[in-house]
Amino acid sequence: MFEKLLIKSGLYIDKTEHNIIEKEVSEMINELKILSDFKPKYDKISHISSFFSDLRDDEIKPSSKTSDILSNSKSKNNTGFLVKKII
Amino acid sequence: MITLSKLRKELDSKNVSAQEITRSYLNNIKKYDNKINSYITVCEEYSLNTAKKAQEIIDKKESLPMTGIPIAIKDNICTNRIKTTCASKMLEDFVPFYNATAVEKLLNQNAVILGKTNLDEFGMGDSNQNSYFGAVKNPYNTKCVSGGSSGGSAAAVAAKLALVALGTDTGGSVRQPAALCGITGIRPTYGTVSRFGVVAFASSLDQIGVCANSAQDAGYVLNCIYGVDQRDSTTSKNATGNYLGMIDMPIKGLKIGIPVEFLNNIVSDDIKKSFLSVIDYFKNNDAQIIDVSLPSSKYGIAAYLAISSAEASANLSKFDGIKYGFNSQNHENSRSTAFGKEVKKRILLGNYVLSDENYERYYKASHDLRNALICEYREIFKICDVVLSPTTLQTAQEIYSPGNILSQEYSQDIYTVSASLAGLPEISTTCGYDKNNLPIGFSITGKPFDDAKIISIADRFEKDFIRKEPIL
Repeated sequence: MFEKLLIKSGLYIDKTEHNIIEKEVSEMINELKILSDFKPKYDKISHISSFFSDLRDDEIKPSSKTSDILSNSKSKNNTGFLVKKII
Repeated sequence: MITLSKLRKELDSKNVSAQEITRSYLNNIKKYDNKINSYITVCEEYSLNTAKKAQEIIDKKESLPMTGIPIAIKDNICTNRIKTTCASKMLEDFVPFYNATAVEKLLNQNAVILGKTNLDEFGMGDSNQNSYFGAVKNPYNTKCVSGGSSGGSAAAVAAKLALVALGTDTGGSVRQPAALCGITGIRPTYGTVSRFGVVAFASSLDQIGVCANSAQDAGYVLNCIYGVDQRDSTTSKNATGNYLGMIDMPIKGLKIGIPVEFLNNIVSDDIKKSFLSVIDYFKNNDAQIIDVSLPSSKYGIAAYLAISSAEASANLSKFDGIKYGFNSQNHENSRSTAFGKEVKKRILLGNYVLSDENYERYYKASHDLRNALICEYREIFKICDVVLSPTTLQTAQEIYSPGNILSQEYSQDIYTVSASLAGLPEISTTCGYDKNNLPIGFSITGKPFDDAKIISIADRFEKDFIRKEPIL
């Protein structure tokens, strides 16, 4: 798994660093595991952009293409900022 | 202590010239910066030329608030024809051909850029030990860290090597070093200051902030650099300026929320004592203290790590040694050779979090957590005007201390990441010193675009608190 990650990241780590970085990244992943305890408890999750849209000037309108992307993302995965999903 | 407003008066009444002030700061840099390593690039000739132009403006009685004011810029903010390295081998020789919008606005007022300050590489870190150009040392004890990632900016202001400095704050990178270096640091509401020209770390979290000797000084700088920018679609028209407009607002009747989770997390006796004295200060001035709850804050560091690493892995993918940055002879090794360990770790974590099998578990969960935090803050701000917290878990630790394990490394951000994730404004100011005379800071968090209010509250506290100066 770590080797695959290195390739995706465009990193070629030599042997001296390899074990240290693999260990430290594993520790970081362990830090993330607490997220599995988190259960969303708000029936209507406020999308991050709507937090600002309450206050944003209505004159700022995204282009139609951008709004299509945003409306699609709202219905699918509710994320505010699009980051390409790596498959 | 010299402040921006005092210097403005001295300059405008010609008691001192812009060139004299600039030379004075340049001499301080020559004398003391070898002890703290706060600057990567010092622009001596450029700053003296700018000071000369500034003085001509002052002589014509056409000065603006920032005219002739000596300022340092964090080295991940682009400055035209001045090296911008991000403290990385990857950009060691990078010279931009344009200014960041915030820099452009300062130069339009003829502010004097003294140089570019040191940072954790690409803004990744909270101790400023992750710099290709060496660690920044704390002016209060040069064996200790300055905090990060804007450690150079904070240390330069604390050591009087700049009057004010720009930093960038992603998860606490202005507030935390400000607390550890005994100065004031503000992260404005997300969308207040344009990110155009900032080398991106995590685009949904990055925000230019200000390191200063006082909340008022921070407000002066913010008044110059805020505003909508066509080149940054995340800037907001709701950032309306006038950040000094609420100075001298009475504290009486102010409703201050203290999250019980933050209070219960304090492990340092010195920080607890200082923070409780801050609460007493506001009580004694007839503010109302309200216990509130931010239950999702305990997941804040995990969510911040996931989101920031995911965005960093995307933002740093352009540094491939072909389009941008260092190119090794064996170009496959460009990224491995030029990135430091912390940057590599975050890129790897980011790609892990975005992979198909982990996307829902970590990345989506982090955004759900982010939304929950926003909702919880909304509930708190229905009954409170502001929220108080300590800024850091510990005071400045020794540089390269052994046993610097992960859970200690990232836990310094525990109080600052929640405001970052929710896009809220937060200011840190000094409230005490530990038994080793190292500074302690506390933070005031406000509602979106309520930056002027938190500046005024910090200013009020600062008027009643006497700071100790570092001795270099």
